[in-house]
Amino acid sequence: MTREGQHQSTFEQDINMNLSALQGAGLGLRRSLLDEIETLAEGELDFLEVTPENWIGIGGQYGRQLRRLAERYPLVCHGLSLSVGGPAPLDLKFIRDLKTFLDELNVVCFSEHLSYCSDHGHLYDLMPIPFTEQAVDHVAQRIMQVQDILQRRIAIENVSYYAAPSQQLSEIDFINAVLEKADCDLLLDVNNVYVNSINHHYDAYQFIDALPAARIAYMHVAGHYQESESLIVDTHGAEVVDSVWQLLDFTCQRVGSKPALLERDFNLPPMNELLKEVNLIRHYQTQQRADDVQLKIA
Amino acid sequence: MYSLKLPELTSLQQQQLAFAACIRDPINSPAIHDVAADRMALYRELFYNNILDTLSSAFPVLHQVLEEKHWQQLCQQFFARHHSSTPCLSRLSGEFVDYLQGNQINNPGWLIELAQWEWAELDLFLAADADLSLITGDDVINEIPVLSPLIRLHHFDYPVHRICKDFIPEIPDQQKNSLLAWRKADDSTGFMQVNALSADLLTRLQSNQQHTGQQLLAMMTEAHREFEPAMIMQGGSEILHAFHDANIVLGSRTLFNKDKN
Repeated sequence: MTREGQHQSTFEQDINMNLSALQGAGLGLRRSLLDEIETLAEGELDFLEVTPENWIGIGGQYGRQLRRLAERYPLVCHGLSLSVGGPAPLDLKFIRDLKTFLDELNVVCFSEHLSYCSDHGHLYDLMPIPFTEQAVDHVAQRIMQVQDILQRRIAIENVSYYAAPSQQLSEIDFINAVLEKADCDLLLDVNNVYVNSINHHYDAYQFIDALPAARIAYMHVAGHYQESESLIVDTHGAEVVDSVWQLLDFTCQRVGSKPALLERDFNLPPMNELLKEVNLIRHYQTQQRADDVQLKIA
Repeated sequence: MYSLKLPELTSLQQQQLAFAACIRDPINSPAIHDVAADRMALYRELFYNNILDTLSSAFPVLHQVLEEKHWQQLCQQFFARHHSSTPCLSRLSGEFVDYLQGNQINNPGWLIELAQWEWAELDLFLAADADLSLITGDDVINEIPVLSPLIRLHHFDYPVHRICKDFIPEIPDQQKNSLLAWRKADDSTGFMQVNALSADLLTRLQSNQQHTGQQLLAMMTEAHREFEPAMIMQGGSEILHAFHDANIVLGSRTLFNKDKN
């Protein structure tokens, strides 16, 4: 067996072991939500998602609260600054710090964006990778490098984009080529599919159908801002709209009941409002399960 | 940070750098031919507002006392020119302070000091917990006092802790303003102005490897001949105990074996 082959089998074990701990509906953890989440009853949330950049190296009260929550909930980590598609070499020290963080908190899945967020330095937001063959090779090679250092398979998220510079491939072909080439998982952001389908005039349902369901590690839903009829901005600052719930419903029917979470970063409403949306995620997930059972009985 | 230089760049890297340049500095960067101007403007707005919001919340006083135009100009220049190395957006504010220090043209003297003082609070907030494994006792006089790493001590020309919309210092004070920020035992941040003797004691504690509290105070009697030695020994010992109570000094230790050898 080659070295790569050995790594591969390690990753496979990791994902089977880890992802089985992940199910149901979760919430993105924000510092401002810590106190309220700590007081929630068991079962209100099934898991939490943490942005590692905001927590690596943090001590004090927040550090302790995070460690307590990590004892109670399965954690997934959603990175922001890896710049996995970026033009400069990967920040290896950061990736090693990340590995320590993931190991210490027993994080069940790490995801990053199919994007880049740096040039000579960090810009802290997502730029659109040119959809080209060259970029497929580049980003796939870097995902493999990250997986190698983290010693785990990672999930890559389809991002919202407002421009497609130097485009040679369609978005769906680009994503599928990267997933295939890097042999990584997918974090399916249902809201991003919807946002992009409006901004770039394609059919969101066909897009979901064309994704490899078996690679979906977990899913995101979020609210957005409709700037005009033909432009939606992915803000995570509002309620999830009906069209996105419908798309989630469809997605659950097509890909099965995958773990999913609500992302809410701005204009945070009271916790009970957030929990209503988390429960709506559960509703679509369980509706799917009920359909499954009926199919099996039939 | 890694430097990307022509002509070794791939066409992908060139495309990416050109796109990022339009976000950082839209006026001085060539437009991307296949990106609509309004979409590029949206990217610029999203990215710049993210940086502006981050800096405005990290430096609330600086933001408040500067003319909005001046504040935005500082943030815009910083975003256009600075290559940030930290993956953590909150820590970008520390790089902003470094940037201001290197680019002081036309800024009033108090500006950088105020920025340093406001950053101290966030810096302490983001810091990892202190390593308490070294501490073996609490005799800060007869053993070696261990200073908390979670303190930030500044000696400012301007009384930046008093700056607000209604008070902007015109000229530097005649004496330094020694300001201390630290993480308290309950994890909140403490702030205080310290006198010259306390400031000297803190500075000595920062570099102290092997002297007991008593030895440090004895050295201070040599350096401050203007005071009675007994007063420094007595007052300094009270300050050391007060620092210990406040979690500025975490405790004491004895000499390491390696120090003895």
